[in-house]
Amino acid sequence: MTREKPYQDRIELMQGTLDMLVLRTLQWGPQHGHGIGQVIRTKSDDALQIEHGSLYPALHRLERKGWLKSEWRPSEANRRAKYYSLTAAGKKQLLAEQSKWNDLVETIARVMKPA
Amino acid sequence: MRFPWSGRRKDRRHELQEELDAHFAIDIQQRIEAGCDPAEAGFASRRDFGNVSRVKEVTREMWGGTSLERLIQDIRHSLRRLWKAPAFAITTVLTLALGIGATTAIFSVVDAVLLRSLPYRDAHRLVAIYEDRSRTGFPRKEFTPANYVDCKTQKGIFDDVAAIDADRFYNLTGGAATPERLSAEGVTHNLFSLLGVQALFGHVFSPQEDRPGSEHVVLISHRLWLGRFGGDRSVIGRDILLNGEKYSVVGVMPPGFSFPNKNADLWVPTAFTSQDLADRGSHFLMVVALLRPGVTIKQANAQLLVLSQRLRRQHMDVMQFVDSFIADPLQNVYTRDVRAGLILLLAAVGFILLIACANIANLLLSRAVGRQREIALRAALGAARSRIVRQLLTESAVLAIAAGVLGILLAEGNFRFLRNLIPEDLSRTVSVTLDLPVLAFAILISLVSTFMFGLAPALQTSKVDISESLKEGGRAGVGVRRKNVGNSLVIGEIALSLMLLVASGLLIESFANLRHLDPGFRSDHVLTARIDVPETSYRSFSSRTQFFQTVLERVRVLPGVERAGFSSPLPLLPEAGFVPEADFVPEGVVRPDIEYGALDHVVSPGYFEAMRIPLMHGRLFDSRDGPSAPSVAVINETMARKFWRNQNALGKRFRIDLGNSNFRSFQIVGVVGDVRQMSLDAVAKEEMYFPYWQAEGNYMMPRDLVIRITGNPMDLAGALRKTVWAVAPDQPVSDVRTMDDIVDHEVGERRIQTVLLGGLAALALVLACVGIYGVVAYLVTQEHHQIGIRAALGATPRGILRLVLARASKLTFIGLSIGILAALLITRFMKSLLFGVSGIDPLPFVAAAILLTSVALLASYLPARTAMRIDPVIALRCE
Repeated sequence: MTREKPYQDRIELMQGTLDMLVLRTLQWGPQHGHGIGQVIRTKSDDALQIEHGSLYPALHRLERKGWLKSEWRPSEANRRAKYYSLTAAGKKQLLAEQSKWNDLVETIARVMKPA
Repeated sequence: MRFPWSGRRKDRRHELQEELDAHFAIDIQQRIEAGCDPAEAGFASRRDFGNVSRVKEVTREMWGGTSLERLIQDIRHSLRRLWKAPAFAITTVLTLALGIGATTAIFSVVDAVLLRSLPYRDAHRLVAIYEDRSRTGFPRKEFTPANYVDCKTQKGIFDDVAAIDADRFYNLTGGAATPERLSAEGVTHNLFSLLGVQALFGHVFSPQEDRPGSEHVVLISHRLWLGRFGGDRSVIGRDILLNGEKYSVVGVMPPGFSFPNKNADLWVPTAFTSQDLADRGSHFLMVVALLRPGVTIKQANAQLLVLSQRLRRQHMDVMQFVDSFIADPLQNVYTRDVRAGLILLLAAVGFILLIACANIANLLLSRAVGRQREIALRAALGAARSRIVRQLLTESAVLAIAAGVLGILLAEGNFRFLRNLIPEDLSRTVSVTLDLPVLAFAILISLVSTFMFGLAPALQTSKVDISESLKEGGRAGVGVRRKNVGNSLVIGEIALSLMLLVASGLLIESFANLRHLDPGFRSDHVLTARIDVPETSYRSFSSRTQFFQTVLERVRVLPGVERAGFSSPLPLLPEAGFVPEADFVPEGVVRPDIEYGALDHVVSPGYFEAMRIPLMHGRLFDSRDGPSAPSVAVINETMARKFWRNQNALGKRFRIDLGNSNFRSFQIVGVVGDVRQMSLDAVAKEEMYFPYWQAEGNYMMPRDLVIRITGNPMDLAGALRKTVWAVAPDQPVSDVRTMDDIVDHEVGERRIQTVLLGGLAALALVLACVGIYGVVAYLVTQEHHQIGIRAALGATPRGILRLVLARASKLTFIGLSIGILAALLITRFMKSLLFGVSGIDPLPFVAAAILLTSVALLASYLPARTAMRIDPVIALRCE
């Protein structure tokens, strides 16, 4: 019997951070799913391997929440791809998440700093 | 099947597919640009991506509303699958519909009779009050007027107390219609306010109308109003002739109102005089009370005990044998006799449903093996186990819902028959309907059965080993668990069937005992008719006896008549559940510790002969016992034994108080055999018979004519009516039927119970047989290989047959053992339903065990024969 153990060996992102990363990635302009994954990977020097298994559900979830909008555009592979971009709500959400994240990092850093 | 949103969903699916296709295209292109081999790039891209189906599924979940969509998807999938296996679907739905239908049907009766309140305003606060004389064999004796008056003063426990002089009769005459004998209830005026019932038209009795002198008013039933008066509202205020006297109709009662029993057509005020109300010796009142809000039955009974003990001390002469007064919820009064039977039937249909579920679970398990590859594939493609279980359960639910709908229709189709299960006196008051509780119950049991038959197979099936199941040629061996589940199901089915068989065996035995019981008379070739002669039409005693005499003389010369006689209530037809008891005083030694009383009968010469009630000693009545001859009596054996133990009762004398210190002395001239008077299953009580010529002053009067005839009794019915009407044109002749009918009617309720339970037990047997066959056949198919090896190693066909049968026998044996233990527990609760047989009577147990064993062996013999014929060469080559 096999049980699905989907993301066990991978670097798990903290809960909610993937959404923030996706929003952040799209700050520079529209991008398709493959591109978003690649940007996160290269910007993190390959430390963050975004799983497609979480990326696509996340994209659809964010779109449903109204933070992303999407349109079909021709892509580099000679076929159209679904490009996501930030909505106004999405930008606001990004700012909120960013400041929350900064607070969190500072706080944790203070706690972890040697006395 | 298409749903409004399925099109939109389809587009989104395509979009998702295209989005992922684009992902792969871009990915592959980048890999090739990075120097990867084009063929290799495709594989690598897919490998890195992971489980596409899973990603798609999780993504789709983000779209929202998916649980509903998933459900619809599951339902569509289930319907498709069931459509492809029509035999399976039909078998399952029919089996289950039978179970759900039967359970719903019986529940609808339980709901109508036991659960729903009686249709009166404060039904849960209504109680009936009796005198408890358990010590002398009358745990529920009617009330006396004086004791009723004393109960009325108990304001601490009762809001109000009313009395009913039940089952009077009135002959309704006048107009062109035939004279009609109607059942009437004398009631105190407050009965209607106590029940919270209003007249449909007109008004119920006022206190003024419930007084001597103004009591010639009557309320009529809705049925009578429609039937006799054509539904004419102007009947209010009109005078009608009852027993030849004018009564003014003051109201028409609403439809369905028939209190306190099913025959009630007229209500008249009791109009007690103060002298009536002082009577503490005559037991004829049914007393109904409304408990004060918040007062429990227990508190009321404690208070009544105190009251009765005080009254007993004050009136020792008439209340010596009163143990207590006792209040019983009114609903219990009506349902006491049927409660146990109904609960037994409900349990029985519940068992049938369980057996049906077990069979279906078995079918599903067998089917599951064929589905193992499909399910393994779905698991491999990323379907979560919960998702698979949900899908399998959905399939079960689809079956259960179809069966539930069919079952409800099945139950409703039988409501007419089910009416027979309602106690007679409630038959006009309550009805079996498909109301909300019944529907809710049907839905509930459909859902519960879904889990009962669907869960085990679903869990079992979803536990697949993907690599094993998908391996081409992987041997489909029977998992140990599968075997265990199947075995438990068979054991359970056998145990349940055994319980049903034993219970129905006991009922059949009781029924046979009752039917073959000697009631003390011969009911064959006897015609009976009720001829109630109102005192008002024949004011003098002699004119009444003259009427009876004339009728008897003319009836006796009708063709085919052997014997004819009159009697006050016939055996098995006690009025309002009782035959009046009269007190007497033996002449000679009187023991203070004995209550001298016996059932009081007034009969004409010819009665004992017509009923073939055997004479034990002395003589029967004849023409000698005229009005002026010495007063005589005939008693039954029980009375002789009880009061003249070790003596010869013949020639002994006793006195009866005729009221107003007027005693009459009777001499015992004969002793006759005991007769089952009250009911077939009640032992005979003490009874005394008086010749009707000498019964002046006795409350009882002859009312039933009994005729022994050669040939078919009913052939005489027409001639009988004509004969009576030739003597008295206004005289109603009612209830013309054979004595056989009366006896049949008496056992009717039992017959229905026995037939129903017997049918259910037979059904259980068939279902269990199918179940056992299914499991054994399945095991034989699955162990084809193993049996082949055995055969190859030299096992004889007989040996293999024995092997298979031994396994079936083992299951049967375990099932029987559990069933017998459970049945012993259950039959303890059946005591009130049994007659002449104890709950541990070995006969039904042994018979049921033998029957089930034979059926089980027969059911496993066919697959065992198949196993016997397995050719080892073919079986092993198949692998």
